Amino acid sequence: MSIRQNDSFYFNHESQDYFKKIFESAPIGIIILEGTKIKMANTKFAQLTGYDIKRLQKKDFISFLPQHEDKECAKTILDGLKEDEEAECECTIEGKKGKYFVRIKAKRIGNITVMNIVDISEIRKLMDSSIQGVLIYQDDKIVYANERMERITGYSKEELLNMKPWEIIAEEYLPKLKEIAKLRQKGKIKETKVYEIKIRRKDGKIKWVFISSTTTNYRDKPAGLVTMMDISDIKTMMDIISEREILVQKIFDNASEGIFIEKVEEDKIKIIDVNDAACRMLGYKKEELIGMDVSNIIYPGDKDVPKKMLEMLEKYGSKGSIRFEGRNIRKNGKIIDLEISASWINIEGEKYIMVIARDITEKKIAEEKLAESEAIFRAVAESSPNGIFIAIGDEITFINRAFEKITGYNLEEIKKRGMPYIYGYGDKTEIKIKSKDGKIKWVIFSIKDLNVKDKRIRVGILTDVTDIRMVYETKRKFIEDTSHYFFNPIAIAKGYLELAMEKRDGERDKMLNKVKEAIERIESVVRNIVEKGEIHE
Amino acid sequence: MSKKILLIVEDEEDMQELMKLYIQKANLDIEIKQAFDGTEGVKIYRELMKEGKKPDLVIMDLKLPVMDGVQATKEIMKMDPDANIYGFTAYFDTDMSRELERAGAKKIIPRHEGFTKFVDEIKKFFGYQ
Repeated sequence: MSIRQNDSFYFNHESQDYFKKIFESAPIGIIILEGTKIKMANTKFAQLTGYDIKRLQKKDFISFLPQHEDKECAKTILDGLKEDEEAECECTIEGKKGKYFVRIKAKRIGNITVMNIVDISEIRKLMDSSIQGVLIYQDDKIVYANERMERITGYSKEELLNMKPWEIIAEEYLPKLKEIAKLRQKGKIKETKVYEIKIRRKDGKIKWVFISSTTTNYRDKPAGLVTMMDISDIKTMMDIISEREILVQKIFDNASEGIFIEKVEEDKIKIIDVNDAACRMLGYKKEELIGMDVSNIIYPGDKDVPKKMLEMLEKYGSKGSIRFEGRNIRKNGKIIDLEISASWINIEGEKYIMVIARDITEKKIAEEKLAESEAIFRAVAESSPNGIFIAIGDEITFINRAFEKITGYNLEEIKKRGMPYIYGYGDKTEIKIKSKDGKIKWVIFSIKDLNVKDKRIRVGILTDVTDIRMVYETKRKFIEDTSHYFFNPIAIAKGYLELAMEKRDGERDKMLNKVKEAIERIESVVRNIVEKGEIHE
Repeated sequence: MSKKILLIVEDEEDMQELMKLYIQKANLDIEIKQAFDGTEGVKIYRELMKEGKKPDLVIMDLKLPVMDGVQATKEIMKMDPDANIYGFTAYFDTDMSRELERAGAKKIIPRHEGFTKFVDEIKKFFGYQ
């Protein structure tokens, strides 16, 4: 097809046809220009512009460039290219079918310019509409930025195209990335690298972004290609999640209750994780507990508790946690009482049981002691012959059998009507009360007030002394009656006697004196009976 | 100057008579009024008080019919908080005599001390000693 003659190629007719076929069938647009005028155009270019090949000839190429800057760029290329010189640019051409974004490579050969025109509309569309920011930089300048990049950085496309690529990077990342950018532009680094970095927007705000940085060929020269994803919100969420995870872990580690994470494996429940409190509670090290079957720490008498716990969880677990009490055995064999709360939890898609256990051994012992004390108190109170009542605040909460017997009222009646009518209060005072059957009784009434946890507790004791009082009253009546019935006549006799004695007669006087003495002796006996209960002079 | 009035509240006639005889024997210039139960005693005191001649001293027995000496003393004291009431009673040093004092009686003269002692106390009260 070609004959090499004297170091130059000579195209004969056959080779002309061959190259014509290549020209016509090339998948890219090819035009040959003289100045700005199209001399020849291939089918692909004709398809791009919508004109047929014949009409394209003699048309001005500049007329296909709608944008002013593209026109200027084309003129510069066409006017300025020297022999064998090449130039490249991207621009928009517009024909009958619409606009296309093309990459043009022009070469001057003699007085003609050959242009290769590649339709990069689809690629451009992809880049323009990408949800990621796309940026191309070359010769320390941003040469392309898509719309998403505008939104991410806050700069307009025009502003970006006048900036150096590292001008949007936050200071802390600048030195390293600037160096890499420079090397990419020289073609010294080709591999793709990914980074999480901060950029500074036009408004000064800092944003977290994820970038993929690679080297590409742009206008026949190495260029840096960056895709950028705004991860500020994701980063914030991840920071929050991370903080929360740390917080949850802290709570887990520092909780005063024992926390167990357990998993059901066939018919066993295994411990997957425990906190420090659980280890202290049971006296095991963490590594001893993890992987252990819970039945190893359950009190033998409570062996069915895990099964019951699972049943309850299956039944009620969807509504929240279940609560129950159980017993475990520490490593040293000591039995401990626990208050347990269990619930289902989901970790990375798998179902686990979270058990929170509080050691209530001391509380249980205290409760048992209290129950014992109460039983003893009750036995003592019920067998006491004295009436006992207990009031908490203003409410009487307990009376014993003796109290009921003395007053005739039961607890319900006392609660409704209050204490039986009392004729007088005092501390350890003897008072009269009226019982249910209307009888007046003498009681010694003593009260003790206690303050327990800001509650006033009153304990009262009634001792029925009616019988003793009756004896005393009988004695009193006897004394009073004796006084009246003996002293009165004696006083009358003495009175008249003394008057009679004033009438003088020696012998009678002597005898009357004897009478007076005898009366005085009777008086002395009566006085001893009254005053001392003794019968003598 | 009007005579001093002594009201004796005593249910036994012999006692009333003896008290009167001993006062007369002592030549005390005192008008004696007599009441034989607690109600009468209170009534006489009220009437005399209305007339502006309330008794200067009341001699009150304890064991009286209708109204006992303690109650009669309370009634008189209610009427006249300045009333002067002495008990003259065989119930000396008993709960009843202590009740009489609590009711307002200023003194209790034990009956077993005799009428001479009784007159001495009257004299002391009316300033004859």
